Amino acid sequence: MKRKVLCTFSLLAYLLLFCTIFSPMAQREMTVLATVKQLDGSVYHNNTLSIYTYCWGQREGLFHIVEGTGWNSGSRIAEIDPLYYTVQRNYGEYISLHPGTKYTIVLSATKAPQTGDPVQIVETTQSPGEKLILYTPNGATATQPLQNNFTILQQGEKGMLMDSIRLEMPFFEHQIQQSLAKRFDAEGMRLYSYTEVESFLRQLPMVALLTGLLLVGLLLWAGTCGLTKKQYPPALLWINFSLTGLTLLPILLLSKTIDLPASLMPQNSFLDIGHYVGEFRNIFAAMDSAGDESLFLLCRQMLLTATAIILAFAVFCGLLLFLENKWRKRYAAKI
Amino acid sequence: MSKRSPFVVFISAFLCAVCIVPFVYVLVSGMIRSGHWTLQSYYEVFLGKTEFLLRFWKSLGLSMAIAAVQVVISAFAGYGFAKFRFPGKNVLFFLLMILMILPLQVTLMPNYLLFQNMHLLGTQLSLALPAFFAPLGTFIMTQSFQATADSVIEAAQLDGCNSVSVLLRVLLPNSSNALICTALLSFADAWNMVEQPLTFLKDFQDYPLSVALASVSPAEPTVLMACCVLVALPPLFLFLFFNRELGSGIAAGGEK
Repeated sequence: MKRKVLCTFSLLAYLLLFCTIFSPMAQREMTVLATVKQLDGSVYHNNTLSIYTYCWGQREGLFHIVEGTGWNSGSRIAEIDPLYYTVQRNYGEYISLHPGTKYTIVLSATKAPQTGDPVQIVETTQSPGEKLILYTPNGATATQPLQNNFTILQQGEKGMLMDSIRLEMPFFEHQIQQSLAKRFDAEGMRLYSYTEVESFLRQLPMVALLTGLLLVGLLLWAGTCGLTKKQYPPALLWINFSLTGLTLLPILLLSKTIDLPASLMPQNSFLDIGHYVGEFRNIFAAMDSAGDESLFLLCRQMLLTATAIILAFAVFCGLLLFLENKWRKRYAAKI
Repeated sequence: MSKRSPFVVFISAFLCAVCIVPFVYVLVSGMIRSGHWTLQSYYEVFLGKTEFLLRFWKSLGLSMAIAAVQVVISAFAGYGFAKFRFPGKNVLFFLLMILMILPLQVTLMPNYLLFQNMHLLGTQLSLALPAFFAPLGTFIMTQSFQATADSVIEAAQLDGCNSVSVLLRVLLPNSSNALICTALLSFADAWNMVEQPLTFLKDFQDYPLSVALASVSPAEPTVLMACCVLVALPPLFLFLFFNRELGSGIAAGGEK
């Protein structure tokens, strides 16, 4: 009974330690990057905003930064009650705050804001020569000439690759989407930064390494459980136990180096695999339609590397199990 | 062996259900959000946010420290009460028993004033110091050491053992159950404490996990349920692992 309890709860302890190491990384990746502006409804020249700050894809709303308390401490996003501002669409499109209100308004964000989301205020930088991937599932019809800083490099039925002379980074999809929506009639249009997609793909081997280390840790735990039988010396149990714990150290180091682009992160859960699959399906459909295979080739290369890493860990674990089993039989035969 | 009556079986099953159903309810409630099954709450507690797990480890460290120090202090104090004669021993033991049955709330205000003068309010020491000297452990160890015959101690002393060696080599090995019982009860007490953190700590960030959950619930109720699963893990492990020793230790303490 004691042995079974110890084995079960040592696994729980290992997983809790893994979660403690992994959760700061998940929280960091899910933090919304945003640009802000201080507005005062009582000051005549400082109480209006562009309509772009109100439209977030399929949702509308004005958001501001608040300091959370209790479990939600730190900078958080909160939606402003529509009673405190007016949306003007008749004589120009803008938003005006009512007198007596003062807010730090979210101008742009790496994903559509939600109340309670952790947020990090950033300053934008101008990045020259950025490429944009435009996914248009229902095709796109140009309604106005493109702005001077955008050039279409390749175009297909479902997507296009555009070049931008200068682009504000981090990449704010909604902000650029609203600007391009005036130039194209494209229902369901999605925008992606080529650089950020490339950066995401290049980190797939690191994610595979992290997964492999977790698998090795779990396997060592399984081996430790096998050694808890009284016929084996306790020293061996503690060596195996220590090795299991030591796998957490490279996981800690890896979690600090992985930095996935905020614009590709899911809305609610870091482990929302469906979101990543959906996004990359859009990206590859757009690139395929535009006739560019560069990202696809990169993805294939990174996936092969990631698979090789996982297989290497699997072989290592298999070898470890085999050697441990062989040693156990020899030791049992001796005694 | 006599056959159990159906009535006894029914009552036992009912009592088991009464004990188990709250655990199952907490486990399942954490998986239902807005009417459908989802692991989002468990994701938020274990992977999505660091606050819950960091506070868990901090509370675990505090509880383990309290249990470890209390065991040491109780062992030495119990040894003194059980095997030594000194003036005022009976009075002191009587006061210890009184302190044991006093409600915690009686000592909260005096401790608050004491810590205020010592500038310890708002620190973890204000939680730990009173817990280090809790009387229950001393009582259990005293009863357990009294069960060891004096002749055994005299034989050890003839072999060259001093007082500390007698404690470490003779009394403690014979009283391992009582020692484990003291550690477990002390841990459980520290893990579940609510009034002391609310009284002595000022900042929400310093609260142990149990108090943090009770004082400020997460925005989503199902996250609270997932946290309850986290909070239940250490006492569950200790109870399952030391089940036998706990029963023996309590029995040994109650013999006198």
